[in-house]
Amino acid sequence: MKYTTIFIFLLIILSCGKVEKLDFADYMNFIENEKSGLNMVKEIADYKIQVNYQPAEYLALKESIDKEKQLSADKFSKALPHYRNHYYFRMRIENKKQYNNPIMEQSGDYDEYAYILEYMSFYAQNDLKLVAGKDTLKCVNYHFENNYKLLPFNDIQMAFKKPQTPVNENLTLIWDDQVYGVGRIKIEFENENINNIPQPIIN
Amino acid sequence: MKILNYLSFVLALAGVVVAAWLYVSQPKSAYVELDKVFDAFELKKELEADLEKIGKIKLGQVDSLKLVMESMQRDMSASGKKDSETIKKYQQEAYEVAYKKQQVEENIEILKQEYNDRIWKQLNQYLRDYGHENKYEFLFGASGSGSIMYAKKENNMTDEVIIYVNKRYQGKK
Repeated sequence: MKYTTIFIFLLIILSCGKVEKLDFADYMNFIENEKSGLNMVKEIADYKIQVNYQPAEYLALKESIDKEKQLSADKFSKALPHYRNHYYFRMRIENKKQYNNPIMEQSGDYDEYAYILEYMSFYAQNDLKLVAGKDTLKCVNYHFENNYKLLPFNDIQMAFKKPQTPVNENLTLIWDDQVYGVGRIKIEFENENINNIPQPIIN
Repeated sequence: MKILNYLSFVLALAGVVVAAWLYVSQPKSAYVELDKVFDAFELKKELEADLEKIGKIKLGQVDSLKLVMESMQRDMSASGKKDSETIKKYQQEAYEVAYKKQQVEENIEILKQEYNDRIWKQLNQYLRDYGHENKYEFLFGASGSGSIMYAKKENNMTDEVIIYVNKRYQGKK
């Protein structure tokens, strides 16, 4: 009786601390799912701004899956350390009303188009910040994916260097928009959602 | 007698149902004091502070040019140089400083307008979302211009809306 009680008690303790594990395809879907609290949406006037928090495992998985959707565990373990020291986000800017590229929609003529494209390609990085606890982090890595007006959205990939001491608070991404007229955008990611991200099954 | 009792019970029940339905189907409406919401909106406070900072820097640059002008004037008085060329140069400089000051003020005004547009764009969106989430048929904006002449205080949702719009602005769910 005594041993049974101890066994049940240990089982409860172990199951509480256990991180959920998901098949790598399910893991990818989990990260991209709006319900996970890692893919946040903000709609202002005609624009929909979607920001996806991308953990190191997610980015390493993206690098390790081939065209046949086969995962290479070796590639994964090599890629993972490269993503450990930064917070990564993908921001998508979409025009809600028109099925047009948002830059195209916002610009009246070619000069305006060129101006917005230049801002998005080179200067928007300066208007991005991440508030992690008491630290305000600069965007250290930025890439605007120019799709040459072919898609109804624009994607930006960005990274912020993690502070030396681990942050155990919510993360707030701030984008001080200068071209779409939507103003300062803030999107908060709850610490609880970040801490409870499942682990992908690799083998 | 039993049937009569039964009928009166059914009628009373129907009455309650109709009254409840009428109560529920009444269009739900409220109003907010827009000036208060605008002033308490975090984005407005932040952009106002930014604008003040920009204004101080830009006008500070113009003021430093004014100091140069004043020293020019002092030099002119001290040296007694009051030939037409020196006066013309001084006047030219004075004109340029005044022109720059005017330009800076105009630019600040344009920026202020731009910031106001951004604030209203977000505020309008959050007010729409508030109305939608709380199932309002109408959400009126009282701005003191006479668009709403009278409303009961209990329909004033200003304080609740201020909390809501600031929460939304901070990016919280």
